[in-house]
Amino acid sequence: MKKFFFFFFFHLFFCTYFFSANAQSFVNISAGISYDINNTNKSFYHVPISVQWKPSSNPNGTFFFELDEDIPLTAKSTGNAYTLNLALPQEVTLQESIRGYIFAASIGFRVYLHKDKELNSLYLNILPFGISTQSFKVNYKNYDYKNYEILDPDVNLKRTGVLVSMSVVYNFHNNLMLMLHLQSPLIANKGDYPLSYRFIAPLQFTIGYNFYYNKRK
Amino acid sequence: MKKLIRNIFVILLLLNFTSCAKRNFYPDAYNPGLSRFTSYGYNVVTEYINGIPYINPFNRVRGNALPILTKISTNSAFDTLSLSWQIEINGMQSSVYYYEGTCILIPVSKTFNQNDFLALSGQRFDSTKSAMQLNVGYIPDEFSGTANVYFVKIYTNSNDSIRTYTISGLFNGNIGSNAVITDGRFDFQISSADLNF
Repeated sequence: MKKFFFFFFFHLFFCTYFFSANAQSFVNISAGISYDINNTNKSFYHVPISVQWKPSSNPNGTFFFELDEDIPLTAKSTGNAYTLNLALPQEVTLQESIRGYIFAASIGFRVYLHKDKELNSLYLNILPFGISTQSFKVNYKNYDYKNYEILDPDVNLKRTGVLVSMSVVYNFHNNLMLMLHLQSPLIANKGDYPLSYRFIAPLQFTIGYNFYYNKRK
Repeated sequence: MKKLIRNIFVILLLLNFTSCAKRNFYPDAYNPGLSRFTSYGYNVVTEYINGIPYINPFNRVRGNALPILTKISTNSAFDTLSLSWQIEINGMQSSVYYYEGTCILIPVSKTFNQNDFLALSGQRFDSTKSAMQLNVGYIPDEFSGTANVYFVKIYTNSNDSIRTYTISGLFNGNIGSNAVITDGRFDFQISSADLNF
């Protein structure tokens, strides 16, 4: 196991040291679609907006910062509500909508993987530390709370914690980039009350643009 | 060696005394002072009596006060199923006049058993079929009135002879003009070993 880690990190730093292809600072902005892989019974889709900033123009500088904002599309579910009022149906099924907002700030480094003749390049981004906030807003459509009680209701939740993430970036046509980015679920205490949803682990697919500056010739 | 064992025993004993039971009270956003309506066996019951929120008492060692579910034999054609629990005011509101217990009574057949009890799941009893009692703290008396009860979910996860029932339901009622009980909800876990039917 020790050997594995030694070779892994040796390879990682060997590659980053000798094969840093983009020897300039840059800011890139990308957007796309993301799918949550941690909630198997619900489909949390988001529109992620990602900003990466690599401040160093040093060819060996591989560290960068990343901000991710995930704008939620509504996840649908159902909840059952019950009443004692004999004039009303004793049980109704309510449409439940859950919106999971995500903001993450991470720090990481880039590992060069490949470059072709047309200077298109492939990178592996490893972000071993990030701080993230996930905020869930739950709403039951047409809920008559004066007459009905929802059994085991979902409730709003907002938590801040840490995460790790990893992405593969393909830079092409000089400034364009494609990114496949996987974030871990939030590492935070969710509380004791059982909820039907879990922290989101978004798998993001984004397309964006690199703004290079401080180019080194 | 003996000293070590004794010390370990003392530490374990202290840990046992310092361990805390959980209240399992999760507030309902729409009904201040009441718990959410759950079916997790939290042994929590809340209700408004004349608009004041009541809850079953909590002890750090024993946890939430448990309900008593029992069948009362009568001389009539039916026996009575009694579900009762202690209550206290939830929160800091002060009240000179308060209640200490609630009891729901439902007529059941003489042959009522645990399978019949499971079959109550999903059944609603209106005030013509069920009654309610409120026990008052400092007056050795009980007030009786009518109740509406809805056993929303009764289930067990075991087929063993000794099993646990989780009971979730809604109730309301009134004791004449003295007390109006509204928005009652319970989530109990009861062992079959504690039942007399």
